[in-house]
Formats: sequence, structure tokens, C-alpha cells
Amino acid sequence: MAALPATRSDPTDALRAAVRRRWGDTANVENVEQATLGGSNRTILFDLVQATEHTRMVSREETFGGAEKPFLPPGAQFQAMFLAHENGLAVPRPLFAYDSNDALGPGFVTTFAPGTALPRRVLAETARHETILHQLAETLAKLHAIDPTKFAFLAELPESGDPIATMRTRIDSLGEPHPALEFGLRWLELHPPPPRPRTVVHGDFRTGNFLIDNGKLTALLDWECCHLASPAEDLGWFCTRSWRFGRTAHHAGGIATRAQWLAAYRRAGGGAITETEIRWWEIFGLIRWAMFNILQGHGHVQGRRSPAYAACGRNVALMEYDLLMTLAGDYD
Amino acid sequence: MTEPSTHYRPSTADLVHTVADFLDEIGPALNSGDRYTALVCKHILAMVERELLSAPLAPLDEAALAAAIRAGRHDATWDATFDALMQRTVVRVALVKPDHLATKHRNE
Repeated sequence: MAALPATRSDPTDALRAAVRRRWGDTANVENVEQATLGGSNRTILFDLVQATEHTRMVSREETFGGAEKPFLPPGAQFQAMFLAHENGLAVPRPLFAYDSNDALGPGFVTTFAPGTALPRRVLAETARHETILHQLAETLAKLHAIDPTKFAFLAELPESGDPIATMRTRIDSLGEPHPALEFGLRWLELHPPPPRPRTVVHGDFRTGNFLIDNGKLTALLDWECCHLASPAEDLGWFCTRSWRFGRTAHHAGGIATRAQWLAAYRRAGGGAITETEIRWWEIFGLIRWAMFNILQGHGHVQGRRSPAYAACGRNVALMEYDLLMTLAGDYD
Repeated sequence: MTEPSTHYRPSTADLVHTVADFLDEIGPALNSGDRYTALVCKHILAMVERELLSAPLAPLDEAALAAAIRAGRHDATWDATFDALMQRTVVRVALVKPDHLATKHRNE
């Protein structure tokens, strides 16, 4: 996972050139550190050095682009994070986007936020879960309350359309039939949730995608799935079984029960959303997580090879199992 | 020896197991990124070993089944379709990660 594709060399020179284009020829970079390579991004931490002042920053580059992929191009991520930050959310502040004169990118640079995103560490601090839950609910309620017309640039994304039709198209494009997922999609189709006006949703709101520093939420990360949808989608994705990391009775990200989560969201000014509606999005979430894993396995077979991506292709069976167990009522 | 001969010893499953054991041995000496990848590789080899030691999954036209479910042609036989899908999925999970199965599906 930490290994870079062969074409990616030491980024220090390219970073130095990029910051000098923005902060002048005396600017420098130090303490360059490669974070683990994610599913579709490369993340590099570095210090911008101006005279004696060090400012920690984060560079994020797309490594797995293409219009057919369910991830926002970096320019749109930058814009979404900018709007979220402007509206007072705990989000790294976007500083600049790479352009064609940079040797890096496509991608952008943001401020650094302290804390850990590691699910095991976040979930181990049970005494802080009530506070964290409240902060997460506030963050999400605030995001969902932003005027969606400001996010008009997301309106034409497939994910901003009908979720079932889009999911079928995504799965079909990956060249491997999955009857169990079709079964789940058919169930969703036969049991539709009440219609809701579209709001902006984060799209990947889950344990592992936010930073906690001494019990405080410091940043909501990974905006590459941001789109327009029912706000219940974010609430349900957070409750999807895969994000409970073994604490299965704590439906909401391993942190709280579904009822506590919905109540916290309501108290924070969010809409009244029922458990039934959340469960619909959890079923959808299991199918969606399976699709992401099919995508990684497909990428492996197509030449973006790694043991982790290879394993993803086979691991899809685990999500299909959870899906069927949930549909049967064996799993809550 | 009563079995007809094919390859010399060890068996294919044993070969795979041997590599998995080696990955275990070197794990502590690796950096955290490589240690993680070694764990993933061990997971893959364990899967291959289980697959070698079990009966193959029965072939099925899953594309046709998926299309029929999508078209609603299994709505009337919902429970039977569920049972068939569950049975197949349990076989797959038992190969990929048997610990993931609920108690009622273990050692089926």
C-alpha cells in the first residue's frame, strides 16, 4: 500500500517548485512525508518554510482518475472543501490547486489538521464517544443546511441522480455479474424511502474519514464522493455495518446506536429521519461498498496491480454476505 | 501408495502454506507498509490453500441470474432465490474469510 507507482519519484523538488510559484523564491519545503496511498489518491505531508516559520500542509493528488470512476475530479473536491470551510465546517482549508505548470497533480494543497483517523484508535476511546457523536452530528447538520445551489457543479454527477440506476450502471461497467447485489438493489427498488429534497452530502462520511485530536473533531476528510442526494444517505453510510469495525451493536460508526445518532443529528438542527429510512441507506451502503471493492479488483486485473487490490476483488463476498444477512433480519 | 501419482511431494496446498509461514516469519522485520502488505499476502495465500482443499464452486450463469433478478422475474420466488444466493455466498465467504461467517453458517 505504501509503495508508489513506478512513475512517481521523490516529490520534494516538485513540491518546492510548486510552493515557490505561490510564495516566492525564498519559500522552501521540509519534512516531506508520504502518507499511506489511499484507494484513489496520493497524500503527502510537508512543511512550507518561510524564513523561520514552518506551516504544515497536505498535498493530495489523484492517482486513479477517469470520468467512469465514481470519484470527483480534484478541482471539484477543492471547490467542495472550500465551500464547506467557508460555511464553518471542520475541514482542512484548501490553499491552492495544482495546474499544468506544476509537476504534481492533478490535485491540491490544504492546511494540515492534527489528530488520528485510525478506526481502532477512535473506537477505543469510548469515554469520548458521546462528545464525538455530537460533533459529527453538528458537522453533518451544518453541511446539509448549506444552500445546495452553491453546489450546482455537482448536479450532473451520476451519483446525484437516481441511486439505484446509478449503482446498476457502475456495477455493469465493471464486467462481472453479482446476483446477490442485484437482489439487494431489487429489494431497495421494491421498498423505496420517502422522497426528500436533495442537499449536498459528503458521500463518504464514516469512521476512518474524520480526524479526532484529544476527543475533538478537527477535520472531515476525503471529499471525493461529495454529491447531491438525500441527507439520509450520509447518515445511513455512517451506520453501514462495514464501518462499525466489529462494534456491531454500535450501528453508527462503532460509536453509538442508530437511535442515538438520529437524535444527535436532530438536536444539532438536522431533519427528522427515521430508522427505517436509515436502514434503506445501510443496505444501499453495503452494495456500494461491495461495488468499490469490485472496482479495486477490476483495477488490479486491468493492470493497477497490488496484493491489496487483488484481495478486494475476492472480499466482495464478505459484503454480499452482510447484505443477505441484513435483508434476512439476522443482522441489525 | 493407493492414490495415483501426479506431482512429487509436497502437495500444492502445502507449498502455499509454506510461503504463508515464511511471510509470518519475516513480518516483524518489515516496515509498517510492507508488514501490512505481507498480511494481505498471507490472507490471499490462506484463501488459495482453502480453495485447493475444497470442492470447486458449482458453475452457474450468474449474468443471467443477475439480469432476471433485475427484471423482477424472481420476485415471485423471492425466498427460494434468497436461499440459493445465500448458499453460494456462504461457500465463497468460507473460502475468503471463514471467521466472517455467523455461527450458523460455519462448517457447512
